[in-house]
Amino acid sequence: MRLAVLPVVAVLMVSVTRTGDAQSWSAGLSLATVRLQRPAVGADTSVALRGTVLGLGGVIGFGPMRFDIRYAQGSASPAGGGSSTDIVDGEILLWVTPVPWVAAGIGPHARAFVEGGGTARWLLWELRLRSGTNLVGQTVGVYIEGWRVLGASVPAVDPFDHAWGMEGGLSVAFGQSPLGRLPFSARLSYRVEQQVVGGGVRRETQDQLGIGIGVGRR
Amino acid sequence: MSRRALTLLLGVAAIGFAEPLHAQRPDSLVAAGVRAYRDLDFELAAGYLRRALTLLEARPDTVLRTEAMAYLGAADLFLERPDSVRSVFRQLVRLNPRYRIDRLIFPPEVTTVFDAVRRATPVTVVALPSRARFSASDSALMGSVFASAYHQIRVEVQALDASVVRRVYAGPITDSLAIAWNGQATDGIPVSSGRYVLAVSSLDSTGAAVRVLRVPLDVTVVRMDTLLAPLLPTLLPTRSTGPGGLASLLGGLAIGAAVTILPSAVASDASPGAGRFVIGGAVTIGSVVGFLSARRQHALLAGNVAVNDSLRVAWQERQAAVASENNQRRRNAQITVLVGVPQVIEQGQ
Repeated sequence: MRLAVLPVVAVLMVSVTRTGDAQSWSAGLSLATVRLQRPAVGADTSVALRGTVLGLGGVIGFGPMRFDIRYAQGSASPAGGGSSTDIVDGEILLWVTPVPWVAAGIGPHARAFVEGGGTARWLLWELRLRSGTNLVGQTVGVYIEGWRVLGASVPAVDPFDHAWGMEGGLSVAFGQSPLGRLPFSARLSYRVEQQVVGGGVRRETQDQLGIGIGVGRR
Repeated sequence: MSRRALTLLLGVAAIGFAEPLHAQRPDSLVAAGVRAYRDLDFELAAGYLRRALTLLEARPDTVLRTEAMAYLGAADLFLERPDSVRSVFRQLVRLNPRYRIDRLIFPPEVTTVFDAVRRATPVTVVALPSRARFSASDSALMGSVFASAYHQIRVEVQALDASVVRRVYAGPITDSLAIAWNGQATDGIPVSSGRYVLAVSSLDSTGAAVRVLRVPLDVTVVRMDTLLAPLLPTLLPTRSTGPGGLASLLGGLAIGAAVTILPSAVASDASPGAGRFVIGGAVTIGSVVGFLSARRQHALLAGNVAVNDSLRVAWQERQAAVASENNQRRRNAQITVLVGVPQVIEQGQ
C-alpha cells in the first residue's frame, strides 16, 4: 500500500513541475543511508537502526517563491539484528527568498515508523533557513540548512519539547542531461535532526548521508 | 555782300553748328574711326579709336570696345607699329577671349597677326548664373569656361586663404568647357556656409599658373538635422563574478565546518554519523578547488555571451542605419550660391 504511493507522488511531481508558468523547476531521485537512534524499549540505553531510503523530490519556483516537496521511503534494522522498521518520510515546504543569500521556508514534515504491526506517526511544522554559495562558476554550489520545529504532533504520551535539525551538502550541475536539453545535476548531502519529548526524557535522532540526481531548469 | 564775305560767313556758321569731337560720344568716335579706317586714313582712325577706348574704359559693355580694339590694331598694323598691334590685340583677347576677328572685314595680314597673338595669350572667361540654388545630392552649380585658345587649365573651388576645397577640373580646354560644382568638398560633404572663390587658372607649358580668374562665391548651406547615434546597449556579464572569489571560499569553508561540527550540537547526546565528515570534507575541498580555479578564470556564461552578441549585432545594425541616414542628410544640404564679379590676377606681370 505504501509502495503504491511512490508512483502517485511521481506523477504529482511531474505534473507540478511541468507547469508552463513556472520560472524554475527541478525533479529528482535520491538514495540515502539512514541511521536512527532512539531509546531502547525497557532500558536506559538507546538503540541504533541503519537502513536506506529511496526518495523522490521536486521544486517549482515562481520568482522569489518556491515549493519544495519530498517523499522518501525505506527501512532500517538494528545493527545487532532484529525486526526492521519501515520508514516513510515526506515534507512540503514553501520557501521565500527575501535576499539572494538566504531563503526561509515553512511547512509540514510528516514521518511514520512502521514496526511490529504498529505505526508511529510524527507531524512536525518546521521553520527553515537556508543559505549557500557557488564555488566554481555556476557549476558547483554548496548549501547549509537549519530548522526548528514550531509545533508537532507526536506519538507519545509525553509532551513534545523541541526538535531541530540541519542539512548541508554540495551540488554539481552538468549542463545537458541524457534526457534532452534539460540541465542535469547531482547532489551529495548530510542531514541530522533530533526530536525531544518529555523534557528530554526521550530523544529521537536521525542522520542520513544522501546522494541525489535531478533534472530541471533553474 | 561779296563772295568772300559769304564764304567766310558760311564757314563760321559751319564751325559753330558743328559738334566738337571731344564732346562726341564714344560710339560716334568708334564710327568715325571705322570710317577713317575704311578711307585708308589709318592715322586719323587710330586717333579716333584711341580716344573712344579712353572713354569706354569705365563702361561694362565690351562690344564697342572690342570693335574699337580690332580696328585700332588693324590701323596700327598698317601704320607699321608692331608693338602697338600686339598690345592692342592682347588687350582685346583678354577683354573677350571668345572674340574671333571677322575675316570678311579684315585682310589676312590682320587676321594672321591677331590669331598669333590670341594663341600666345591663353586666357579664360567664366559664365555663371548670378544666383543658383540646388541640392548637393543631385544637382550643382552649372557654368561654362571659355578659352581664347587651347591650353591647360585648372578649375578649383578655394577658400579665402586659397586652400583648395574641391578641384572641379584639371586638363586641357579648347574652346569651351562645361563645369559643375555640387557644393561638396573633397571629402564628399557639403561645404560650410561662407565665402569661397572659383579659381580658373590658365597654365603655361610648365604647369605654372600665368593667369587666374577668381570668381567670388557667397555660399549659404542649409543642412538637415542629423540623428543621434544609438547608445551601446547594456551588456550582460560574460563571466561569473560572484562565486569563486575569496567570499565564496570563506563561505564554503564555513559551510564545510558547520556540516562537520553542528551535528554534534543538534544531536547533543547522540553520536552523529561519519557522513558529516564526508560532506564537510567535500565542501571544504570544493571551496578550495573553486577558489583556485576562479583565480585562473571565471566561468564563461555562454548564454550571456549569445545574448550580448545579438545585442551587439542589433546595435551595430542600428548604428549603420543611423550613419547611413545621417550621411544622406548631410549630402542633401540645400545650397545657395551668389556669384560675384570676377577678378583677374595676371601672374608674372
